[in-house]
Amino acid sequence: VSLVITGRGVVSSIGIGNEAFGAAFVKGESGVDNTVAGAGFDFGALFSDRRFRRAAPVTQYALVAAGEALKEAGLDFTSFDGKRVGLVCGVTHGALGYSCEFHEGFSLEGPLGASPVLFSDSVLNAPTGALSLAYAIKGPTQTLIGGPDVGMQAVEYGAELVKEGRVDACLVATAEALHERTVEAYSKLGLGATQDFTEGAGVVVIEARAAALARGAVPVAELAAATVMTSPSLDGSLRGVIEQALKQAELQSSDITSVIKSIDKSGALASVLADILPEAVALPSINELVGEGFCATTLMNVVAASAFVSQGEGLAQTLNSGQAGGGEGNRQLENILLITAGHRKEAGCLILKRS
Amino acid sequence: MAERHSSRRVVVTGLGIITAHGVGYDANLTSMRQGRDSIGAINAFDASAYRGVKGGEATGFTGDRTLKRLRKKRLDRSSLFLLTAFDEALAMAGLDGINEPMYMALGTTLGGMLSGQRYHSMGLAKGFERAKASLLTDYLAHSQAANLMEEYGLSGQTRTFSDACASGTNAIGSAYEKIRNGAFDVALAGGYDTMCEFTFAGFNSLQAVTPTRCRPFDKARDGLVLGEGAGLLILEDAEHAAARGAEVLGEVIGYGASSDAFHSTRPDPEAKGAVAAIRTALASAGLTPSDIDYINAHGTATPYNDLMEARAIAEVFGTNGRASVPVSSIKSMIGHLLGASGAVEAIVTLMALKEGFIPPNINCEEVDPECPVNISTQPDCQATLKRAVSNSFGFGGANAALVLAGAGAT
Repeated sequence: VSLVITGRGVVSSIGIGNEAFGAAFVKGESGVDNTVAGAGFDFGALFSDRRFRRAAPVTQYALVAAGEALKEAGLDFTSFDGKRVGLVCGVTHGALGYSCEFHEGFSLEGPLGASPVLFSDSVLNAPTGALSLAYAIKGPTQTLIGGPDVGMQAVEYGAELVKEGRVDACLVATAEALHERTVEAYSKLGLGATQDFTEGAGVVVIEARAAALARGAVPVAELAAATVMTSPSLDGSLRGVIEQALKQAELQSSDITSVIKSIDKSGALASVLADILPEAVALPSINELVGEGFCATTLMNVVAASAFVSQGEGLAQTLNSGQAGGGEGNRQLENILLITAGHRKEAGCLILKRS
Repeated sequence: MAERHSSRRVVVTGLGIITAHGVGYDANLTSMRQGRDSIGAINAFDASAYRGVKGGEATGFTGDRTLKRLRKKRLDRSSLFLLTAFDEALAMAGLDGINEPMYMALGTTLGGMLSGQRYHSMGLAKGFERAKASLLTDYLAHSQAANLMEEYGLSGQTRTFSDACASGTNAIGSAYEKIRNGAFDVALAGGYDTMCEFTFAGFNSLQAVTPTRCRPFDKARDGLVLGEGAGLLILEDAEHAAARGAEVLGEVIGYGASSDAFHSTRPDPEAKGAVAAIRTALASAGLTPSDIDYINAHGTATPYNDLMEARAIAEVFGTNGRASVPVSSIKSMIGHLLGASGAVEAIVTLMALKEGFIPPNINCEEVDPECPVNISTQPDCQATLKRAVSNSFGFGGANAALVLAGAGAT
């Protein structure tokens, strides 16, 4: 079963929506000192369903990005069979702000200080429930928890649901909301500096190519492989996911023209890529522009990669100026490998092909 | 890695369980058979000001153990639950480790929230600059899976599910699918959660906790009781298990999941999503409702859930009400274990199939006439069961059902 991405949505500190995001990405605009609000995110203006006006920011980001992805995919939630649509959300910290506020409430004021609204929106699957409710998704809906690799896990799970015929289409969503406790905690643990963190959402719609074409959808990229792995060594995990992904995509390492990698503080990723894919050109990662957004930036990279393979030459020339030109730049965007490395030796890998 | 096969059989060869009844299979079997009420006063924190003051704590769990690779880490109680349950599951499976690539799926709603809550409390009291960073290392909900992988030197694929009360069931269902489709030969699946004031305050704020007793399907039911614990299953491809001479404890033969798309916390009163999950599970098992001998209900004892679930069961299994398939909720004995509930309930269902008994739905004195199902209120230790369904329904409209069979029943 050939899988394709038919819809994409993004909320980021460099732009709200595919168009703004793509334009800022190509220009290399930095969003490090920005929030999504600073980039123009206004939930009330972007989302008319008032049931979610008090939802946590992480849920609101996911709702807006998912709406854009479904629109691009041409999946009108008032007409599709919701039972045949699945949903997999990747979450790292969830509504941490609401969790802190809820905890503060009962800690300082006792049981009467415990807000039911904050509690129900602080559970880790709150964004999933909201997406299901807002878009009438009634097939399997799952919430996976993890670091940056959970974005890869969510895509892998969504691909599995479609490939095995359990759903016709699967919405894969990730979202993260910036909070002072996150910044403080990672800094204390030595896993990041204050300016490294970001927020937002990335969403894609996955379908079987034949089914997508049959309903008139326009694939933006082929999802040729999705693999995840944890092993006793990060090096082993990284080599394992690349090997499995190449096998799944029926490609040789020399067929991979470009790579997008996650934040690589240990250098393990660079070392493995230099060894296995020495010829592949490193494309800019969204992390370089906005910082670490955990699960969210992983899917933002998928959105960016799908734009690279679908828009081809023009984008290639812009991105690769100084590295390659014209037709060569175009070739470099044919098969893009995306890879993440987690600090607990988790790795995830996707391969997107021009559709 | 195994080759793809669409119809491989998925057998259970190892179980590990921790609940308010006790630590381990035998302690839980004895109490489940007897219908013991293990709900008591909460020790973990002062619950006296809340609407409900009781819980199902795993008071027999000490967490004392020797660590190999994780010696330097400060582990949350949730990680200790997992490690202890995995020890038992391995021993029951006749394994001293798993040396091949495996799939691991765990369900939790809280992860290491006890540690997160301590960190936040410390920050509120002393200022966050003085809160101990070591409390954060096992806070996030995927840390516990990473700890288990690291301690045992495991490799493969992991997924941590957080689908509220359906987490454990979805974890087992996904493992069943991974083995059935040939992606892996061995899987570890289950769930865990701890007794934590954060959740306790949350469910109390929703008025979902009973001030009296947990009475699923009773006419006078007025809420749930929270519990804690863990349940882990080692699943294997049947041929893989046979090749190493493993004892088969039971089989996972069907799984279904769906979403209500109805409300963020309340279930759909028409039970459409629950019906869809149960029917999908039965279809994947290739069974009809009449093939099922017992239903382990989600049965939280909240007015909304039990009414919805009874309607779902009646719609799928027939409307002959109390003459039909026996139904019980073990939450009446041990409380609602949230992310662990689906896993623990699947284990107890496998226990019932293996040992020939129906765990009772205690505290139900007068079955709600609006719930047209056959509630087993008394222990039945003479039951002959071949196949059973275990239901889980969670916040956010997440529904999941498993179909389980006794060894040799398929």
